[in-house]
Amino acid sequence: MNDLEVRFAETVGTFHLDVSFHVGEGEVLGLLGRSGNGKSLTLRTIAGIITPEEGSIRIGEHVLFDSQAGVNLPVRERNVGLLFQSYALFPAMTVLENVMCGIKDRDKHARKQQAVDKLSLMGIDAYRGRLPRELSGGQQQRVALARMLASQPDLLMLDEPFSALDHESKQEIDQHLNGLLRHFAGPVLFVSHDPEEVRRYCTRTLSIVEGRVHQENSER
Amino acid sequence: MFDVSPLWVSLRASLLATAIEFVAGLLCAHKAMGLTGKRAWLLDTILTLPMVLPPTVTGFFLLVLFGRNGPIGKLTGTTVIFSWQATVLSATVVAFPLMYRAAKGAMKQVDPDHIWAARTLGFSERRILWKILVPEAWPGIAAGAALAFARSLGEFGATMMVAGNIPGRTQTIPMAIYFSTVGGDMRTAWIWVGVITLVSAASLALMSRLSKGDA
Amino acid sequence: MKKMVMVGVAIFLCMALAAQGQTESAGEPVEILISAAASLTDCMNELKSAYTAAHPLVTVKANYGSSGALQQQIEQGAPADIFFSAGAKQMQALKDKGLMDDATIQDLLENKLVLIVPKGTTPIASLQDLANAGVKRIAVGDPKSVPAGQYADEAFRSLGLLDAVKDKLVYAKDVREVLSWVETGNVQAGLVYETDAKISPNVTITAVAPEGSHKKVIYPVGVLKDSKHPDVAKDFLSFLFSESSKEVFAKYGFTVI
Repeated sequence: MNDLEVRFAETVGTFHLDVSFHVGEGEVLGLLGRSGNGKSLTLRTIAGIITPEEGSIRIGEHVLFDSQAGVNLPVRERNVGLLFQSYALFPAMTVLENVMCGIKDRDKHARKQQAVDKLSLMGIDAYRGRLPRELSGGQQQRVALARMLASQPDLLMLDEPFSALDHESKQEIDQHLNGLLRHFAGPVLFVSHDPEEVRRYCTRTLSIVEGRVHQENSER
Repeated sequence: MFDVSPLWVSLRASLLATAIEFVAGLLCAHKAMGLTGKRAWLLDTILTLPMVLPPTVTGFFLLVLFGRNGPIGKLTGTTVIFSWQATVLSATVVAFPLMYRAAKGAMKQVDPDHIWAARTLGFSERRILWKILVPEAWPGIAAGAALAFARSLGEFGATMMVAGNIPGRTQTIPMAIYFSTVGGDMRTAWIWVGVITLVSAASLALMSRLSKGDA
Repeated sequence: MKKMVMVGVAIFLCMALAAQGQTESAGEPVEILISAAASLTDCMNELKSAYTAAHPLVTVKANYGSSGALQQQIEQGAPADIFFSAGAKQMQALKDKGLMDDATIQDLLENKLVLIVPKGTTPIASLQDLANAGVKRIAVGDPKSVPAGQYADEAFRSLGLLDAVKDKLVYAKDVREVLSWVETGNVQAGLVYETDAKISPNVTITAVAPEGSHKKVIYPVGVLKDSKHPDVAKDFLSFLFSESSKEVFAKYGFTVI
């Protein structure tokens, strides 16, 4: 059972974060809140980019962080997928190379095959030889999603996936994102300031207000 | 017959020095990026020192370390002093800070999210350096290498102290210029001045082009 | 605040530069510059202190280097008042260019060329032994600009050793550099003047270049034609030829002509 259990408190500058929630396997949890309320910080903390003062973060049996037990896994060992707001595609690599680089197979041919699978899933296999800067925002995002999926993470976290896209691109993404969310077996965290989006893609929603997230009843 | 050997001596020293500095500079810059506070400042100062110290001071330290009576000389039983390897040594030490600082400056500009993304994908720090940092910081790194190459060509003071003047083996272009000038052979001096000015100018032009690079 | 600092610095610089300029007139301080061969460093330091003690209004500044380097500097306009060379060739070159006050030129000192080794290492009995396989590196002055290097070159040629030792030679930019290389043990032997060897406790003289294997080591000295203070320069020159100066030269191992 690969569920996500998060509970922590931290202070970043003058901002205080106090978070506690649970995401079941196959659930898509929406974190809804205005900008500056700590949504991105929460995702980064789960990923290991920021270390909280105290708390615990666990995916299934895998403990990522436990202040009492003194566990604090480095980012690279957490096996979480994070879709950055800026997508963070590697500009010096082609689309295909970007997607391949997270795959841990010894065999180069197998890696390539898995990468192509994920690119097809996101509908951008045709662009595999291009460089990121040659793609539109929506296309770049799909590459980022493919890359994230290809690394076979235990958890998916999407940081404001639609904030940089125009209406048309959003339409394009829609079916691919739905396909992706259905395809992925583990827990998903979906962060946004837009209630519409959250309603559309998430099975449940929590509000984050000034750094505090409370477990509430579900929204669907 | 005009003795062309200083050209080969200089090129050999500078090219080898630049190759060594390139790798060492990248590794040190990467290490320095991971440090903060006092340790960062200390490492930075030590690695930048040969750039601001007078070449004679650098030459002095190299002589003391690598000379027959120095710790490394005693350890290895031979001395590198007055060999062609010494020209590489002095050129490397003097130009290293330029490469290091350029590499560090360029790599610090790389979007931190790219580095974090790589980590979430399971990259080791070494892989991040060569696959993410170096390609993305390339214009700045290459410009640093060009500048370091030009500086190492012009090295005189430290080289004179540790490599001596052995025509055909350690006599670099700057040395040839000095010795032909004081020996009254202005024609030879002019020729070498011309050569080194051209090569240095070309290196700087290359550096300019590279730092504009693909942004 | 920044502007005031800059103005302050500018004023300071102007004052410092102005202080450099000296004029010659009775009772005003005078500065003369003597360009002297590197081998003269220690004895000249002693002599110029002695002169200044006796003539408080005169400051004698010394510029040491290989005679070839000094000659080049003067040819290119360096403002020396006196040239004290370790070789006749360099003095002749300046004479030929009309840069010397010919009447003031005199040969003052003689020196010997010796073979030295680092203290505590195996002695090398003669110059001929430098051709042996065990000797890997020999320091000499660059023959083109360092008189000691010229004499060494002449000695090698007249003894038929040049081919044998050619690949072992490391050329220094002045004779004191040769001395220093031998002192630090990075070469097995070097050719310097007897007076240089005597200064250093870290080298041993193991041979003297045979009589006749090279031109005599003669040190000529003279006043430059363009000297701004020819009278003071000439006075310093006669001081160099005085009895007390001769004692100082002899103390350091020079032979006074």
